[in-house]
Amino acid sequence: MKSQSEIKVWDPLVRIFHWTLVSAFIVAWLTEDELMSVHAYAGYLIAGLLAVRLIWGLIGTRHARFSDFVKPPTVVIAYLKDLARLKAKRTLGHNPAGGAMIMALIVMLTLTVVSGLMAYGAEGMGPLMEFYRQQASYGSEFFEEVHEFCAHVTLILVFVHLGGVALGSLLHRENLVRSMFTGRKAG
Amino acid sequence: MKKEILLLGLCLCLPILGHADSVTERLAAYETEGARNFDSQSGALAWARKVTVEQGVAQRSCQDCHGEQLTQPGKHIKTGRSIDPMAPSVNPKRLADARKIEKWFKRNCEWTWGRACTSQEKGDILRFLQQQ
Amino acid sequence: MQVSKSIVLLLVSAPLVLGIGVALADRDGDEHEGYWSRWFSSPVAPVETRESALYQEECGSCHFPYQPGFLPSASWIGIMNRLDDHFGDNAQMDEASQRSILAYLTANAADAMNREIPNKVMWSLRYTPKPERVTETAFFRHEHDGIAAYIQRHPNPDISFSNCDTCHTRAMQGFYDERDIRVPGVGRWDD
Repeated sequence: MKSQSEIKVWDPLVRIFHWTLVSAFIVAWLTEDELMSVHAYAGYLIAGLLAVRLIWGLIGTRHARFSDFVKPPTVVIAYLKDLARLKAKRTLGHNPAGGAMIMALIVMLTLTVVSGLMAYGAEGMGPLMEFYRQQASYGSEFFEEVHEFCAHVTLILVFVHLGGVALGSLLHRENLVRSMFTGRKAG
Repeated sequence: MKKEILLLGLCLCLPILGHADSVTERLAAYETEGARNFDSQSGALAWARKVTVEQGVAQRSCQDCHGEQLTQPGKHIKTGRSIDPMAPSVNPKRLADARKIEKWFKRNCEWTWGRACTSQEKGDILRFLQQQ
Repeated sequence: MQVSKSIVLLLVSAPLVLGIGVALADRDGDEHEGYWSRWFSSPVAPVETRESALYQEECGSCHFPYQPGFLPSASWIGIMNRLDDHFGDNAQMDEASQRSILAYLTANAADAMNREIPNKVMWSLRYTPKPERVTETAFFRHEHDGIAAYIQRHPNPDISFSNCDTCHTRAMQGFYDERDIRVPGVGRWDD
């Protein structure tokens, strides 16, 4: 099965995290304002995934660590310039722009989860309801708006991410989506 | 055995007797209360009469909610909810139940006219509605 | 080997967690103040939809027969004790019907249910325990602030808060999802 020239890049946790996150995000997107309880379950799942991923980013395998792919803005910009001229160098793990995208996604997803939990809590639901017990008000227009905004920004990031994956795959003649399933890349 | 068959026959007849029966029953009851000579003309006038219930509040009539065409659905003047047509010719459920007749007279006379309807008024209105 | 193990673990544990959540949330009636119910509410109809033909008949002739879960039992008791002046209308009925409807309303009231809408209604009333009408609860007002502002700008006699089903097309079945909303003269509504 295993081709000699292929090496392991993405560990199982990274891959399971990635595809579970994709599924949970799709479910949350489809159930907004419809099946609130299912929407909340998807949100809890995303919150849990984010927590695991943050820890794994510190203690995980080589290419799972933040130290492997988080680069200073100057490096990211230089990489994007190279990419625009289709001369970007291939990296085994995340390239600098990909690393920046991952951090952006983690930040936006965290903001989406927190604002969602606050909006849910203001309606007396979920773990953050205790914050509101002492107030007579019901519901939070503010957090609903923030939640919606963050979710939309996240969706835009997802599309940019997909564009980046497509571009990277074409540029270096490899299937990056397949690698996220198998965990392997050409060495 | 004979009794059972008779009872069964009576039960089967009930739906057919329908509204004629319940109206007759109500009219007879109104007569025992002193009302006489029920008249659909008077009923029609009462149905359309506009009544001042409170100063400064719009006059009210049965037509406010039931509409002017009794074969058409009406519309509750406050809630906007659709009300099934009053005419038994298009809505056989109307006037079919003596208890319901009395219930609605009680509820609606109070609001529309600000008082209970008299037995005479109820009898006239029933005669009028029956012909629709 | 390691990979397939993790996948199996995930596939087994995820439905298990959700299942436990639903089971915890679904215990109607008892322990409706239970902590976990606030995490995992039932994913089925958001409000109890057990019907009462008598209620539909006596109350639903004039206005939408609001599901009992929209008000706490104290409110229903107050309403049923004042039927001679029912928000300006006379809504009296015979004593047997009144007793039977009151029993139906209190048995399915917001404080007797662990469902999404009853829970939210009770939460919205935690400092105002006895509203007189469904449209008075902070829950109702919060959910309808957008449409209320719209009606103020564009008065429309076809829209009435007394008739949930003019806009919530599946309100009679107990569903108030956004996708089922059709506002007369507007169509779909996105809050």
